[in-house]
Amino acid sequence: MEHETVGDVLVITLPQRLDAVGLKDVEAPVAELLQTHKGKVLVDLSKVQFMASLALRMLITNQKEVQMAAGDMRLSGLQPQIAEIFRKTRFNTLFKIYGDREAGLESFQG
Amino acid sequence: MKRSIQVPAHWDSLQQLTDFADAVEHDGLLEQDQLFVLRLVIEEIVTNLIKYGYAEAEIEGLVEVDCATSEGLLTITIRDRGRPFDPRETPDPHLSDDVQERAVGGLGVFLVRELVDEIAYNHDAPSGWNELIIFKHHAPLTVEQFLRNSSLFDGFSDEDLEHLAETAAERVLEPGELLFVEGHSGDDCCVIIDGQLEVYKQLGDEELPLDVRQPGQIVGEMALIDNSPRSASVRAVGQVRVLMLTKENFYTLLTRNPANAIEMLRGGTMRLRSTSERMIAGLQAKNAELLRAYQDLKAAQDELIRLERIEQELQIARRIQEAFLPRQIRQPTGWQIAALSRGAQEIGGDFYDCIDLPGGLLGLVVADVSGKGIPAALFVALTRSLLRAASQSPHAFGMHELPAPEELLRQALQFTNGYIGTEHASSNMFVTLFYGLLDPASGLLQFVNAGHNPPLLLRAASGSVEELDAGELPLGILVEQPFMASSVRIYPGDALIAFSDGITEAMNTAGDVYDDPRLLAVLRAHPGRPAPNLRDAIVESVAAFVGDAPQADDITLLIVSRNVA
Repeated sequence: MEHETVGDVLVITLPQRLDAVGLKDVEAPVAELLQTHKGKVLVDLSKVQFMASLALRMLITNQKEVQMAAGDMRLSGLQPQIAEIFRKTRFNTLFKIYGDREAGLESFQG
Repeated sequence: MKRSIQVPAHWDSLQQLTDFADAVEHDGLLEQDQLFVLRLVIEEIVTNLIKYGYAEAEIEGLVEVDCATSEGLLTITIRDRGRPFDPRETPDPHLSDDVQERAVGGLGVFLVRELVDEIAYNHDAPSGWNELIIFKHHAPLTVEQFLRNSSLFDGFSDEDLEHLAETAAERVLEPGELLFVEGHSGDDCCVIIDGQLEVYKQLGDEELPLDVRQPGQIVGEMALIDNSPRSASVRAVGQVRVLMLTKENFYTLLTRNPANAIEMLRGGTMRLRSTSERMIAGLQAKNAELLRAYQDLKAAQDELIRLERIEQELQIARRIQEAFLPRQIRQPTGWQIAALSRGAQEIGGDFYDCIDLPGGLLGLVVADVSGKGIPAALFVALTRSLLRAASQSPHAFGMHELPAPEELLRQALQFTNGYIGTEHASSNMFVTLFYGLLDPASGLLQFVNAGHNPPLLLRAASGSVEELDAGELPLGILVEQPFMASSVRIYPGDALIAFSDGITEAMNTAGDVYDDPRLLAVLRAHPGRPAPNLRDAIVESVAAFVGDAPQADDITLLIVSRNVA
């Protein structure tokens, strides 16, 4: 997992495998970052090739917390299979999703 | 392909199962969507078994996972003896659109049901075995999936996408198949789903390649924007899947996702720039080619004009040269003179001359300048003029006492030879020349033979032939040459035959030369005949010998015969 701040946006790049094993290394650090940042967050999923219910659960938990703190969390770079998971579970209606990282960052400017 | 793994039904086994999925992926026999399903099944189903079937039931045991693929069908079989769990029977989760209300339970099994083709479940009560079998075919990207995944359609509502999927037609192009033709009208465009399209313009016989478009890109939109015929042709590179968009689809695309309009504007502008740059480069290359061709043509035309001018000048030169031969040969009383000169080329290096001199003397000249063509012709003019001037100058300058004939010969030749040898030494030209002075009254011929092939004297009385061979060097070789004259008398009925080597070296088609013996034979057959008869006999004989072969060398013939009293 990587993160950086671009302007006032915290960009979190999630790793390739978000299965039960992979999530163990991600869940706590992401929660911690969101606790301290509070504000605009872009989660870049362009590297993610696998995620399932556990990762969805993490994202919805994160989104709830960010919204409670009046922040704004958006997603970018969903690969086809990930995008399908989002559609099947209607998670695409719960997030603002952008084609790539640049488009996601631009969306915060408007 | 078949792989199996058996692990304890415990949380600690998850890493082993993940490694198992990696090993299957490494085999390379499964498509991405099938691999995703395998990982999903391990993640959602096997973890469920461990949790509900064993951990919560406080049972220990093993879980076996088989993974087999055959003809594109992935079959995952899971066997265990924990508490029975049929994933087909769990209720669908509540998919609320409100983040705060969204429950997250039940999503995993729901996802498996959504993504796989079929699920079979068996519980054998007597033995306690559970068997779950999951089937998954590889499914190529559907149009709907493509629409949802392509960033072109970001911002489209589900309704928009459904409408688009219904109204836009999928089309498969075979390799090389034309999609759009330059100049045709068009009311549709397409998005590439799979494969590549090449865009090109036809310039005469040549194709100007403009661009290769990739999956996810729009092709053919320009005709829809400006309502004009197709500006270029579009062809499939390999097999290509495209989605044909109607005008209405296209406008929806622009209005629902303004980023598309900007992207299209940017792409269009860039392509326009690069196209005009390429066209300009192409035109410049063509222009350079045309210029070269024009210059070549111009050079060829100049050369033609130059050759025509040379040809004209050569004709003039030939007329001038013809004028060098005596227009009319004075026939002294009791004598007949006949001559012939025929150049092998338009202008030649042979000549003859008959010079009227005071006291009734007649100068007879036959000469052959080395070489042929213009240089030889110039030397003919030079030699003939010099010789004439030198021979006639004592008379022309009014000297009352003319030199004796042998002195006249000597002076004229020395003057001519000296001039050529000093003034024109660098030209390396020389002239073979026979010069005889005939006194028609006495029949005395005084002569110098400067390297010319010996003239022949045909005696009427004996029918014999004498050679006038008093060898001096040709003119133009030795400046200080003395030129000693010899003399011979020509009796009634005799004839003098002077000629150039064009006669004796005339060649037939077989490559044989006419040669001296044939000439001698003709002469011996005609003793006592006047000059015109002899000339005709020789010409006939040579012509009969040569046949159709082209004339190789200049021919010059001067015959003087003394009438029988």
